[in-house]
Amino acid sequence: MTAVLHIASLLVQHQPEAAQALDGLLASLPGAELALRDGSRSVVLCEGPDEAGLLAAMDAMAALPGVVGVSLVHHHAEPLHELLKEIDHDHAP
Amino acid sequence: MRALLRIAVVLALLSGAFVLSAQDPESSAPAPAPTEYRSLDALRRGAPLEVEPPAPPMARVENRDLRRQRGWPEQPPTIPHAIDGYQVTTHANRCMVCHSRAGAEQFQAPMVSVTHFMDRDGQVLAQVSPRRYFCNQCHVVQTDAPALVGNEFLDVDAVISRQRER
Amino acid sequence: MTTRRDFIRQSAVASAAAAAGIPFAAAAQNVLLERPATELKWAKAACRFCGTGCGINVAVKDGRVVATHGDVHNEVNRGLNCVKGYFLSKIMYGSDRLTRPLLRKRDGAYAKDGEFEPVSWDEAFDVMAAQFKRVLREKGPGAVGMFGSGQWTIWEGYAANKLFKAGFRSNNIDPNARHCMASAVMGFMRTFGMDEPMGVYDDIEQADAFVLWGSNMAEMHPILWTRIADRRLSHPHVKVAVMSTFEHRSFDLADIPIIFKPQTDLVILNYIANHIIRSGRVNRAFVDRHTRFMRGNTDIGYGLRPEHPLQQAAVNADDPGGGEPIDFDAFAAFVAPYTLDHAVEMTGVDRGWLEKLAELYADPAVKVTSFWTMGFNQHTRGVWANNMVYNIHLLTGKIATPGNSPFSLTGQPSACGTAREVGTFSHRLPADMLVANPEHRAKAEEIWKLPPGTIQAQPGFHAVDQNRALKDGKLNAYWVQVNNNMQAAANLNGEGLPGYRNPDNFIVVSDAYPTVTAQAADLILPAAMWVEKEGAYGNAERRTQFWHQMVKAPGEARSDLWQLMEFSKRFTTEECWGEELLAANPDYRGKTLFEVLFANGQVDAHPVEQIEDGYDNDESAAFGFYVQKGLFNEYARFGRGKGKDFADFDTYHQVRGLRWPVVDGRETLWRYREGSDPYVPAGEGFRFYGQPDGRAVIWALPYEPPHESPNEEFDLWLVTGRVLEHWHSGSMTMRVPELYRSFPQAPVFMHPDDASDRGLRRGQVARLQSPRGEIVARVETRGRNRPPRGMVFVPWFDAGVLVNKLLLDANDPISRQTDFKKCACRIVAAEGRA
Repeated sequence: MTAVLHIASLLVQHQPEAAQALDGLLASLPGAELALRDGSRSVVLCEGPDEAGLLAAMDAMAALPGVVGVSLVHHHAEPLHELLKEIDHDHAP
Repeated sequence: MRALLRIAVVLALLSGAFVLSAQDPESSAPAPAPTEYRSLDALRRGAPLEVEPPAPPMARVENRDLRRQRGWPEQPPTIPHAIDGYQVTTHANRCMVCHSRAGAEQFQAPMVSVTHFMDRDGQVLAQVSPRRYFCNQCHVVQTDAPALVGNEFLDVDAVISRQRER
Repeated sequence: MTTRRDFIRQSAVASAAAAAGIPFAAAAQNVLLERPATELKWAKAACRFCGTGCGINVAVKDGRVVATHGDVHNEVNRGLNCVKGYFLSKIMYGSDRLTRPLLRKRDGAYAKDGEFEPVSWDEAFDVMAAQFKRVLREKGPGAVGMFGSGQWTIWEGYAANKLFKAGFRSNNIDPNARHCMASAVMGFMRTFGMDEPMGVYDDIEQADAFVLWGSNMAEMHPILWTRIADRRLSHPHVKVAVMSTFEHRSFDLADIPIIFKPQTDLVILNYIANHIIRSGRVNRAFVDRHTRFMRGNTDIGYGLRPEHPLQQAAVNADDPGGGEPIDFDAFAAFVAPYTLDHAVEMTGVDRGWLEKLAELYADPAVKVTSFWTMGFNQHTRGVWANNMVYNIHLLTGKIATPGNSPFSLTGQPSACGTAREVGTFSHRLPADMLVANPEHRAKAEEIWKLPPGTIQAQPGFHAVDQNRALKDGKLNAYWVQVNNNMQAAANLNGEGLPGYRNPDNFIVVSDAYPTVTAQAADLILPAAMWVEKEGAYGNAERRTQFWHQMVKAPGEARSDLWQLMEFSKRFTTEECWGEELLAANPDYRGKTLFEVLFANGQVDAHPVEQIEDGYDNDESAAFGFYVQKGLFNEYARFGRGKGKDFADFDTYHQVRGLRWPVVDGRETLWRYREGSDPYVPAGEGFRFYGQPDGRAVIWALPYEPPHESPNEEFDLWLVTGRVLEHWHSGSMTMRVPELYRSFPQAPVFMHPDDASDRGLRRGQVARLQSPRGEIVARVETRGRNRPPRGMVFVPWFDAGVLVNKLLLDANDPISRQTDFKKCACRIVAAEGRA
């Protein structure tokens, strides 16, 4: 068995007032976190073991009052052990 | 006891090299230090070298189940609860009852990190790797012992904000 | 920030931000995107603590260490650390770091009974040099000395060795490794004629059985223990035997748990040899071709002062290491009395366990690795114990092949690399050479470009004798670096403290923190530590590992290397060498020791431009040449072609260490075996080339009783040792909040029935007393250490519980290593205390 990790970034467009509700939702979604926000646009990072969780998170965000749209910008899936490898140039040779 | 102390004093005087300060063994504070033994090492709790300080209260293990902040990502989390009587032997691992993938949900305990499923060659296993089996080699409890010496380590966020302020 | 996952997370956010046209400035507070500001500089290092030698990645930001973790690329630990290693980030940041020299003064001048006052480096070295010169003038080189450490970097130990043995012409230099490794060293020298293990840690993944002889690896060598646990738990046929005088954490993995009476490990070792012989499992082909037999001198005393009754009574106190050749039959007859019945009676161990243990060695199908540390080494017959475990590996030929390994572990990060290989012992020179050997002295003088006859032939004071000589006023100017010997050495009240405070003596202590030893000194020099300097350590498997300087030391703290070299500038050859030597070698007149020892065309051969870009090197900046490279290259000449070859200097900064001998760029895993060790000629199979005849020695040695046992007045055994969370005297780990709070004070571990018999209960304050002193500590009847009845265990990390006040400085007469595991004591309630 090889564990795979999915990493995705979502662009969420919303009313500025909806930001607080979005934050509340993100806090309850495992693997989801706010990466950036610029008024009515938020970039959300999602990590999880499968695509189903990712889609569920997108649905939950889309269902929030004040959220206009949720789009998947970047999606990447790779075996976990590969992802946990260190990037060499960051470290000692 | 008294006899032993007397012998020690006599020996000390005979040696002529130092003077043992007479201390009431029942007093709660160490006797005043002769200048040559002024206490520098805070871990001595103020006692000069020839006198043993009174024992501090027995430290109690913090048992509040509150997760503590880590100083950097790879720092192993300290254990926020008592582990008295926990067995981790070839037959049983009490820690994994709650912290395994299956147990984590049931007992509301954090699941061990994914790194723990990798073997020495970086292969991911279905269970916790045997090299990580003895949890208490890296994870330790914390007691309420009052600090004797401070520590001025700054985590990376503190260093970056310090840099920004300059 | 460090893994591929972090990189992908960052790219994902960046692309979403770009898609939306969100300016990056909006992310100013988000570390995820703030690459230049948040980037950490990572570099490799070796762990500062035990002899395992784990690889560490160290992250630096703005001149401070901000994170550390196990190096995934290092074979030793492959990314893991123990709890101490994980907290390395914090060891340099204790709030009481010493940042200025401190001198005892009264009325503005140095005074032995004065108070510590901050002084400049110039004043510190002026006073120190005046004291050393006074002693040299009045008493000669035999009255100056130094106590160093297996925590010195390789070049620090090398520079110190050179400064004392060649500069001051004094062999009174010894490392604290004397307390830790000396018996292992003498064990190797007597059996193999050459120091350090033949095997490597890779044995762990190959062995079918592990035997721990007086070693609690679960706490003291946790990363090697993870490798043993990995092997045992993933290969069900593997067996682990754990032997100790009390039960501890390593027993959690034991298939064969053995608690024996103190000192009777010697009986078990001879019983196993006897069992191998009686059951016909001697590997005769191996024994006949690769070994010979000796009977060692017996009744050799206990390393006490000569007037002590036990020394007076010892027949061979003057020649403890001697012996005579015997043959196999004589050896077989010698061990014949060590029957199973006798072993059961002497040790108190169940027959079944002893038989199972003996079979691990006897069964030719079982690859067995033996590990030992202080249970063997800190033993008044520690050298014997080392020789005797080699006996059983040699009788069966279970040696120098993968999985078959008698393996002596080490307690300090460079006990092997510095103390042993550099030869900072009072009787040694680099690369296993001896001061007593005229050829060895000549070779050292040649490499050091010194006149013949510079190095003295007489070995100097070893660790235990240094404290005695200080007390007796024979050693008067004394420098201590990187260790805490007032807390670590036995018989503190009787020898150590009176020695340091003897008004005739001037004591200098270099340390990063104000330790117990610093407190007993007259001058304290603030030291740089770990990655505040470029360093090199050698671990227990012969692995030499380098690191760069990564941060600056605080305030005016300077490395031990800088201190040694700068101090040498204050002495001339006239002040140190004597007229006879200079008259015969007038070229050396008028020179400073710095010029003779360090500006000699070798040590100063490499310009600072050769230092790798991006790293500071404060010593090289101070002296104007690449100090570490020059010292290492000169040192490397000692072992080249002698089976102790190193790779070139720059290579070590690129790799995760290499195991010597490094020949033609290749490291050596198993020594003494053809095909694995380039020094073994083709066709020989094995060759123990440390011995002139290529044969390892099997020593016939008996059981002899300990120096002190419980009696009516002092009715308990006292055993001392360590705990996982603290390293040695705790001067670093007690200053890391998480480690301190995890195990803040040293208790007296004892059996609950022993406690209740004496009216004691858990948590109560008690006085632990021996004929030599007392300590005050709380009783612990539960927890990780479970002594049998009649024994207590006290860890020595706690500066507030100086358990070495109780111990006798009895030692192994061959190695002069102190026995910290056995003395008599009693425990009483401390009245009036809660």
